[in-house]
Amino acid sequence: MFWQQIISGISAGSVYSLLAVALVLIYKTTKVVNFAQGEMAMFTTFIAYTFLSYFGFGYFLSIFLTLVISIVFGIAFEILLIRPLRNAPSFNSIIVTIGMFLILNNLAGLLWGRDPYSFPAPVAEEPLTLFGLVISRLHLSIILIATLVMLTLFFFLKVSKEGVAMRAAVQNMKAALLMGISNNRVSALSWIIGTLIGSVAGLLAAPVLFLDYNMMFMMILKAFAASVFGGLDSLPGAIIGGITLGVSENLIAGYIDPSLKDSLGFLLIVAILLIRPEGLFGRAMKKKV
Amino acid sequence: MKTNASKFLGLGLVGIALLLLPRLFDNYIVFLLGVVGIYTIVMLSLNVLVGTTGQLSLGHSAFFAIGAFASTIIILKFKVTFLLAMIFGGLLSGIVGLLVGLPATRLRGPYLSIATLAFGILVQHVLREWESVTGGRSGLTTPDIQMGPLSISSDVGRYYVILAVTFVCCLMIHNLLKGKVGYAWRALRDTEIAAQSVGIYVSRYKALAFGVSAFFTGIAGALYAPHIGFINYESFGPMLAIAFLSGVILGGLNFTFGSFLGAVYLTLAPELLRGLEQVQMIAYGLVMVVVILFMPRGLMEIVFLLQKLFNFCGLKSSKLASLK
Repeated sequence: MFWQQIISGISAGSVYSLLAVALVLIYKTTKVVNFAQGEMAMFTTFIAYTFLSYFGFGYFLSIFLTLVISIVFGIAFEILLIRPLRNAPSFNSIIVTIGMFLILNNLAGLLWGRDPYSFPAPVAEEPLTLFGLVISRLHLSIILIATLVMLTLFFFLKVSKEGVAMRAAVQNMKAALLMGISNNRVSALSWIIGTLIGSVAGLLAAPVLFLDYNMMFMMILKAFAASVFGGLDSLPGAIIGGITLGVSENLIAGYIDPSLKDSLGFLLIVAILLIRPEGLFGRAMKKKV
Repeated sequence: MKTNASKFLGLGLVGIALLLLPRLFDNYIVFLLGVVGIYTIVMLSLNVLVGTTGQLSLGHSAFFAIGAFASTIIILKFKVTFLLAMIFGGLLSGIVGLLVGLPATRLRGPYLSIATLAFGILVQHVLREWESVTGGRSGLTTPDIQMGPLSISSDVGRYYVILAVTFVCCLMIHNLLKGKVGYAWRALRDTEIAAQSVGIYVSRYKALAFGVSAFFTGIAGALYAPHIGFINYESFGPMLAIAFLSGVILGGLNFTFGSFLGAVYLTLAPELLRGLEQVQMIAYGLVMVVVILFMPRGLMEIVFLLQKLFNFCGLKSSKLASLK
C-alpha cells in the first residue's frame, strides 16, 4: 500500500514537474510567468482528442499532429502577445497571460462542452505485478515518458547549439546579443519548448484525470507550487518540487485526510514564499541600481 | 477660482442626480446601481494597490469574502448594528491584508501574484471547510441592514446606504492619495531605490497599501452581503479576483472615474451575458489582453478622446479635465 501510494505520487508529481519545467523555462528566458500554461496544455489535448475521435486518426498520428500544432501555437503566442511587451513591466505580461487563461479555458468549454471525456492511455489497462507490488501501467508509463522528456530537454540545453545560446541569453542578454544570439529566436524557441512540454503533460494527465475544460486549473496551481519550490528559476528545483508535492499529496490523502490534498500545494506556496522567497534552490534576488 | 466653482457645481449636480436616481428607475435597476457602488469601492481600493503602488493582487476575492463573512457572522451571533459590523469586517480584512502585505513586500512581480493567488484560494478553502462558522457549502443568509431602530430591507434603502458609504470611502481614498502617503506610494512604484534613498520606508508603505486596499475591499464585501442577501464560499473564488483585476485594467489604472467605469462594466457584463458565463469570461479575458496591448489607459482613452473632440469643437470641458 505504502509503495503504491509512492508510485502514484511520483506519477502525479512527474506531470506537475513537466508543467513546472515549462513554466520555469519560459520564466528564465523571457521573464514572463505564463498563467495560461495549463490551459494551453488542456487546449492542445482537446485537439488531440478531436483528431482521435472525430477524425478517427490513430493514437500516434494524433499525438504527432498535436505536437506540430503546439509548435505553431507556441510561436503564435510568443509573436502576438509576448514580443510586443518585452520592454514593458512584468505586470503587463502577467495580465495578458491571465487574460489568455480565461479565454482558452472558456473557449474550450464552448467548443467541446462541459462534460468530461475519457482519453485513451498509451498503454494497456491491466496492472503490472513487480516484486510483489501491483503497479498501474499507466502510472509507470507517465513516469517513463516524463523522464524521457526531461532528459531530452537536459541534453538539448547542454549540447545543442540552440540550447547553449539559450543558456547564454539567460546568463547575460546583452553579451549574448553581441555574440550574435537573437533574443527573438531564444524567446520564440523557449515558448515552443514550453508549449510542447505542456502538451505532453496534458496528454499524460488526460487519461488519469479525464479530459475536461477545467482539468488543468488545479494542475497549474500545483505546477506553480512546484516551481516556486525551486525559486521559479531552477529547472532541477522544479522537478524535485513537482515530485515532492506529488508524493506528499498522495501520502496525506492516503493516511490523513483526502480533503487536505488540494490545499497542500497552496500552503506550500505561501510557506515557501514567506520563509525563503527565492525558493529552496533559487539564487537570492538582487536589486540592481 | 472660476474652475473650482464650476467643479463644485458639477459635483453638486452629480450628487443630486445620484440621490434622485431611485425615483427614476424600477427596483431591479436600483439594485444594480447598488452593485455598481459596491464595485466602485473595490475598484478604487484595488487601484490603490495596483495603480498607485504597482503591486498585483490576485487575492482580492479573499478580502471581499472576509468583509462579507465577518460582518454577517457578528450580526448573526452578537446582533450588533450594521455600521459596526461593517467597520469590523473592514478592519479584520485590513489586518489580514497587512499580514499578507508584510511578507509580500519581499516578493516582487510574479512571486507576489502567485502568492496572492494561493492566499485567495486558501481563504476559499477555509470558508468551505469551517462549516460551524461560515455555513460551509450551504452558506449564510444575511439579515436586513439594522441601523439603530431602522431596519432597511428594500433595494432603494440599501442604495442610499451604499451611496453614503461609497461617498465616504471615495473621499478617504482620495485624501490618502493626495497626502504624504500617496506621494510615498507613487514614488516607490516609479523607482523603489530612489524612494528608499530619500527616506521612504519601502516595506512599511507597501504593507500599508495592502492593508488599506484590503480594508476598503472588506467594507465593500460587508455591503455586498446584505445587498445580495445570501453568501456562499463559491462566489468568492479566484475568478472573482481576476474579474476585479480585469475591471481595474479596463477602467484605467490610477483614474478615479476609470474605477467607476470598471465597476459599471463588472455589473453590466453578467447582466448582458446572462446564461452565457463562458462568453462573459472570454470577454473578461479579451478585455485584459486587448487593453494591455492596445489601450494602456483603458476606457479612459475613450474619455480623453471625447475630451479632445470637445476641445476641437471649441467647448471648454473643465468638467472632463477634472475627472483625472
